[in-house]
Amino acid sequence: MFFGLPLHTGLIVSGAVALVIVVLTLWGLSFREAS
Amino acid sequence: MADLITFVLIGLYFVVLIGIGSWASKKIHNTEDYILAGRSLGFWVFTILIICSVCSGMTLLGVSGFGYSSGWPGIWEQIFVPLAASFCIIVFGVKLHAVGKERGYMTVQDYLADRFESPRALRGLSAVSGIIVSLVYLVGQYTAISIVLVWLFGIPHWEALLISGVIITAYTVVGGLYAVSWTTLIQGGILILGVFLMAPFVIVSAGGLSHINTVLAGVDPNFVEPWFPSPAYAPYAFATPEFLVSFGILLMVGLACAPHVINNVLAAKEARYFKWAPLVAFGIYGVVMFLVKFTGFAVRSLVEEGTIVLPATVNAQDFAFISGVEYAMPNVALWALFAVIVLAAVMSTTDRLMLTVGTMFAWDIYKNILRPSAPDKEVLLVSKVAVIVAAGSTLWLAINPPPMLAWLIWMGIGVMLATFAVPLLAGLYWRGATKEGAIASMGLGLVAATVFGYWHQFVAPLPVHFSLYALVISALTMVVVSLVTASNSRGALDNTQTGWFIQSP
Repeated sequence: MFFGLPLHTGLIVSGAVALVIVVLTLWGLSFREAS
Repeated sequence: MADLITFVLIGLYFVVLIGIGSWASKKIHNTEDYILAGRSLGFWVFTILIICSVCSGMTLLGVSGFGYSSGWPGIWEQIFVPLAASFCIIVFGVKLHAVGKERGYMTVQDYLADRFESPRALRGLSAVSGIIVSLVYLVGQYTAISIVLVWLFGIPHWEALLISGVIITAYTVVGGLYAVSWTTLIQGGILILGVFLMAPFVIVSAGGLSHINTVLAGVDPNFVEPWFPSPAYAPYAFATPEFLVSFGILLMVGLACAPHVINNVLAAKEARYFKWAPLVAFGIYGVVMFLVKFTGFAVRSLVEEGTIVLPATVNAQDFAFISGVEYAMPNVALWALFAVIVLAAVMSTTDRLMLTVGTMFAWDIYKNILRPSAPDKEVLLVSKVAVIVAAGSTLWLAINPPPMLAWLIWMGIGVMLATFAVPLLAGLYWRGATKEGAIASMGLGLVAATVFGYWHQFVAPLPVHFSLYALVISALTMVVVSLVTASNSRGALDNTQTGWFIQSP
């Protein structure tokens, strides 16, 4: 259980949020400021 | 409902807004100052402006209401909507800002006209569609504002509309984007702090998230699943996997290319803001949205346990946030703050929409189509008059809101997606996209969204959001027509940095 949720719901939702954060962080790291 | 403290706090809030408008009016020397705040927005003003432009007037009430009625399968809204801000900044913003600064764009229509070498047809079509969609959206915002004021003060609907309309119009007309962006910073700050302060109280008073989820599972086991298995068994069970895909595209891409959102990228002072603004916008807005949704869950739990009762109206779920705060925070001062938070959420979208309508009319239609010889002062005056006319006409419509208002608002977002997404994406990233392709995809997308929206509402429900069909038709039209028509000149493509990259190589 994940805060009273079925484990798969908790994993899918938190996984999706984590994925977005990782992608946006990678975007920030790869951005070229000089352009 | 309202007491002296609420009156004083809301009065103070309105005085601050008018004060900012007055300060901003001194900075307006030309049309660029009025429309783009002189391209001077700093990181935080720019980021909060993007968030609050995406954040609609019904965010607090609608998001918690959706959580109340549909449980966890609706949680994807909390990822898709904040992602619209990030998507707008990355996919549209980086390139548009760079090209816009170099080529002097005032609106996204300037970009379309330049990229597709269509200074009148495509500009006119896109400006007219943008104005219609924004006006529909505006009626919805004003209706939301009046709901809040009527509920707070028990004043007649028209009085509520008049008070809010006059104040928003005053600071928008005199201060342009300077006033809109700085008032939005204040409004956004109030919204964010307020939700951070209030939502946890409601969630804790309902027994905490674990308890709330257990109660939700008892109402319907699918309330704690990531999506509903089928829309067949209940009216609220529309969030199936296939629907969520179309819903995600609608919210993330459709809101990102909405005229009142995308035009903000032209006003950022420096390109380096685009480095971390997507993550910051998603982080702040995502946390706010999750907290509001959890409040909806909490209120459902409180109602199921018989602790509170929602008003016996058709849209009872929209009172979830209000009822939850009323129950968890009887403290008067906090209650007054809550009133300001709801108003801030609603007003920050309304002013941006009004300015966008004024801009599209004055700059794209009046200056660039009807009267190219018009001097700058005349265009500035037309912008201000157009804002007043937009405010007046939408206020008049909001006094007697159309019976299908909610449908019209969803229709508006669907039309934005089907009309603007393909010409913008193809224009920015595909050198083969042609003027004829852009005009055809925009026109057909507009017609298809209207037809499928009508079909879904009045003929037979569609399995995915109606806008997805229109988007596919718009994309296919762009590809087919572009392949059989002559490409735009190499100069236009190079000048607008067209190609399969976000930052120029």
